Amino acid sequence: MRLEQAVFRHLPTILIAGAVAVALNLVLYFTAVSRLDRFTRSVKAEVKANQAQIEQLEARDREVSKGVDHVRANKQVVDDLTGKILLTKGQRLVEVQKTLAALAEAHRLQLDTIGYSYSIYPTDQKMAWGHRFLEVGIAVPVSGPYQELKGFMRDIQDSPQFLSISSLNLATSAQGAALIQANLALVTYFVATEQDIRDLAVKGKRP
Amino acid sequence: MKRLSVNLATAPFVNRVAPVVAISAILGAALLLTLFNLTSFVLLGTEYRTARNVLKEQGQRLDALKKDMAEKEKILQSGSVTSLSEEAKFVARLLETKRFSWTRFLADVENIKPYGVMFQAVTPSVTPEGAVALNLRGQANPRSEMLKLEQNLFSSALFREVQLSSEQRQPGNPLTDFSITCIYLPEASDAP
Repeated sequence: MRLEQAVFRHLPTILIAGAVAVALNLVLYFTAVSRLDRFTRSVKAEVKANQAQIEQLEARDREVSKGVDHVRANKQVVDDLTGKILLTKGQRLVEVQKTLAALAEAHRLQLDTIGYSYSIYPTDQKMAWGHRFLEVGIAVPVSGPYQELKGFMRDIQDSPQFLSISSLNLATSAQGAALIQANLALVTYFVATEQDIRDLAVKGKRP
Repeated sequence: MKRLSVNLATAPFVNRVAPVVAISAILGAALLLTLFNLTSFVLLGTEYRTARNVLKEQGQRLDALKKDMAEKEKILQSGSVTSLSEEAKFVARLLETKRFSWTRFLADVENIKPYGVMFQAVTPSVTPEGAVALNLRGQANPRSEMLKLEQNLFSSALFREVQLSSEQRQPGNPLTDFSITCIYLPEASDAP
């Protein structure tokens, strides 16, 4: 009974304290909680917008990466071919000549005269390629049995000297239909040096 | 039953319903509001902190992506890419020419060559589209053998766009010189 009496004795104070607590809670809600709610919503909206931007950028990045990978792959192919296979004329031409002679001998083909022609690519000097290429055309007249000629051509293509056959001219030999006379136009490429470019420029100016 | 008019209560009656309701309402509201505010504050605070952290990570990711993209675009837009692309095309053409198999080609030609035809010159060239354009020059004896060759080329899946460019009968003998151009498709023999 004492509590009841105490409560009723301090009823106005309790009611005022309760009202103050309610009022404080309302103030707290409007000044803090609702603002925090607004901030949270705003940050969440920002997160969503950023996510969309990231997805967009990632998609674009994938496309650009493909382009860059393509460029890098191209560069790798060009670098490998020029640095490991084509090399310069000084580094490889003699090997090419030795290979041709050895293959002709292996196939019992007669190889008498060989003609050489040289050109530089790109022909337009203004084109800023990483390398310039020296094209060496090799005219190889051979005569022998057709099967041997075929084997010779196969071995030329399979040789590590980056030789291509650009054309083939055939004629039956005067010695009989079993023998074939063939003019093989071969071509190989080297990385052109400044000296190669100068030499060809000088030759081109000669009357 | 007779009503008793005498008040037997030892204490005066006080109606306490209204004050109890008022106290309960006000204290209940205060308690509920406090609980609501506290819960909201904790929950919203956690969400806000999480969202801020995500935002921070996103900011870093965006910066990294933008930097990466800028570097890659710089690579793609540099002048060296254009020249590298031209150089790569040239190298690709060299490799394509190198890939042409004369052994296989001669075997294919042997299959379609009639007995009375002799080839004098065979010149392949790789077109910018990667196809192999052929120029075949030869002699036929008699002329009908050249027509057989032409028919065989038309019938074969390995040769397309067959065109007889010229034919010339040699005076005084049955030999006919001819020149044929066509597109050679070595992959066609692999097709089912």
